Amino acid sequence: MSRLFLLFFAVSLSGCAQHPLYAWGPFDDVISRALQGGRNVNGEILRMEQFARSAAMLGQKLPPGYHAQLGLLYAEAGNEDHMEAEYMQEKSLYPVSGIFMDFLLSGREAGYEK
Amino acid sequence: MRSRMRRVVLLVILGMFSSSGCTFIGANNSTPRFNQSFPGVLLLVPPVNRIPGSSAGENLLAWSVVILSEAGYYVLPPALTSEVFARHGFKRQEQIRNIAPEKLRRIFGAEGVVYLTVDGTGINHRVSGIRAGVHASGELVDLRSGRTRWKGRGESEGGGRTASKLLPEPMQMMISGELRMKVSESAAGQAAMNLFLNGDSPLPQGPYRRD
Repeated sequence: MSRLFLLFFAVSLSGCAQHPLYAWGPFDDVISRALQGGRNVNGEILRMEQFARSAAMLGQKLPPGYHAQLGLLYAEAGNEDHMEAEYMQEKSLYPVSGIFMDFLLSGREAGYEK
Repeated sequence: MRSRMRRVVLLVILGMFSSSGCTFIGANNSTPRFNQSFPGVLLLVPPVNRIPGSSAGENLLAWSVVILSEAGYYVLPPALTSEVFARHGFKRQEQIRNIAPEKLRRIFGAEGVVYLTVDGTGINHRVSGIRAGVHASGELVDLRSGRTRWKGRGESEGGGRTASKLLPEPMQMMISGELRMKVSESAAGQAAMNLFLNGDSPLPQGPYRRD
């Protein structure tokens, strides 16, 4: 009986926030790896892109910085067009990122070397 | 007869909780409400990592992005901001603290900077197999005033805490149950959640929650 009580209790409390605001997927892992350096860029691009597609299909929102991180991966893979597209997508989804995204897109920051 | 009465009482209480959920809990606690003057766009600086040979710092930073974003803040992508710092020779936190706030606002559009430090119990978990506890501390500086607006501490479960918590802290209930479960699988995740949303000085809710 007390176990049932605890279960209901936990369930009702978890109802406070039904779903996460954002779909996180591999993002937290990708961030951690990116900060540690030395990783499989193309594999990570694949992971991030696949998850982005599934999130879109489910109508879920990707978190702040997701597109920007993907853009950085593209830059490291030598794909500047995709990098720019991702930075602009970040700016479109999250206008407060505009100052930083513009900074990255402008020539001021000597672009990411291939 | 007595046990039936108890069951009825328990079912009534269950009913109360189920229907009102967090409103009931929230009423008993002073949950900090959204504060419009509080920085909403956050720059996270790589933590000072006092656990040698571990990726606790990077993990704490990654989980901080999750927790802060879910709490309603826009978190500037840390791999990109760190790379900008590194390119200009700023590799250590102390160096970044010396940068003029106006400059950080101008480049990143940041409203606040979060400085983190991670410490551990000192047990090398790779050798002993015991999961090392993660102790995190943090400070949020408002770039518009240059003043510290928030300070906090948090630990992973089993990182020295004696009471095991059945109930999530009120602010932690902003984080959905399913995500809390994922967070709690990582010591750094637990530390991040306890750091920002726990106890005496949780962060206020951020401005970007679509509630």
